[in-house]
Amino acid sequence: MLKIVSLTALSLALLPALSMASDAGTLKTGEKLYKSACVACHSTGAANAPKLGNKQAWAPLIAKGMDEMMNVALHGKGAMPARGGTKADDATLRAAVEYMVSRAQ
Amino acid sequence: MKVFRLCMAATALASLLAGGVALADPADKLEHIKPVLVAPPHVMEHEQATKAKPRVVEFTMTIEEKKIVIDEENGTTMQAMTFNGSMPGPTMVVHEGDYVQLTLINPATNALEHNIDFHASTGALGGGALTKIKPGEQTVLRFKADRTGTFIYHCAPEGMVPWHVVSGMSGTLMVLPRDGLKDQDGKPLHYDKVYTIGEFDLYIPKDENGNYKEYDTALESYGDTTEVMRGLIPSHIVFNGKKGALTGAGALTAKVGETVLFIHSSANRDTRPHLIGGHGDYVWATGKFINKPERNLETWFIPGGTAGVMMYTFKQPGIYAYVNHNLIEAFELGAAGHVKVEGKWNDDLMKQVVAPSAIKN
Repeated sequence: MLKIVSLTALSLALLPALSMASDAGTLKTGEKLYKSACVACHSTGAANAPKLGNKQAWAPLIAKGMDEMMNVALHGKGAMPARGGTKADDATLRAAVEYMVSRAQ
Repeated sequence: MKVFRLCMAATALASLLAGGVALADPADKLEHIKPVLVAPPHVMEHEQATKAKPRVVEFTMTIEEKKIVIDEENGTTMQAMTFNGSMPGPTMVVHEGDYVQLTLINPATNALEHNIDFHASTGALGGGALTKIKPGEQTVLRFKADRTGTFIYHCAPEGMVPWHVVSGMSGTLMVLPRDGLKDQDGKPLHYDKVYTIGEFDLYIPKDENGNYKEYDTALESYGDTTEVMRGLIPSHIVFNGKKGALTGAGALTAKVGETVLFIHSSANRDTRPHLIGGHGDYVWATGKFINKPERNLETWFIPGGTAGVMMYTFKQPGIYAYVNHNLIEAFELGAAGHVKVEGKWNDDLMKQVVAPSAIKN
């Protein structure tokens, strides 16, 4: 138990901003949305989307912070449609972004 | 001196070509026409044999993403993607040697990037690499139609090609020989009307209770749909966008003595058309008119990724079924339509000698 807590603390410390911290529940919600919709582009890099798990592609986006990433998620950018082409609410979208970020660290 | 002159001429020609790229495009000097595309199963007005010189034939198509009902009886829906709002997209007709010039529009109301790959064209992934458009953009592609036949066109965005195709984005371009269609001996063939049929294998996901799922947006359907696609078993196989699209009020029509050309496209999956009660008088199953047609076919085979052609002159009235003769795919999954034919019955070709009645001892 102590080990898990300390591991969590460590990973939190490594995140560039505390606001990006996310619990397992959020990541699960995010993964669900990712797998239904975001995966269309972010699994293959279609239309130049940063691929899931590609640390190099995600590093500059993560560096810009969650607010900027959420701005893209909400309003779209380039070939990416607003809300990633979904009708998901803000919290679910944020969870999906957090999931993608978690896979790039 | 003579050699020198030749060199000079060659140099002049070379500089003309190099400097005149924008001016010397041969297609720019040709006549431009703008035929009107019509919704399937109908096909735009066109000449068969033509005396016209090669032209630039301009078309415009607008991409429309929309939720459609694919099975009215059960209310099953699909997040479809279409060229011009129909499945298949409209059939374009040109002649060999013409240039096809397509303006492709992706309105801002759509969510996804699209493009178009013409199997009739040469280069740049069928035009796919030159036509990538985001919502709110349009593009113009021109290519020379230098091979005759019926050819698929379809959307092919890198990374998600199959999804866009099975969601509805395909149609046919027919490139006719300038002197029309010919039989196996080179004699002219003429059709009185033409229908275009697009066969679509659909992959609609089910929920845990076994009911077909409905989605708010196309992208939300992506993950589940690709899972079904990977199983390679379609949930539905339909002609022209839904079960029964070509039956009842939507049935194709003809008259005894009339010759009908049936264009049949299937962008993703093999099919085997058959006209119940009729035949394929002349069939280019792989759709390319430079080859001799096969005759008297009961069933023909169109490989996925191909548009094929069948020509038939009706000899009997009645309701015919035009089906994919894997009969499960036709009658369970939806790949069947009707042709209603008017005219006089021919007793010589078929006669009911004794109507069904009790067995006599």
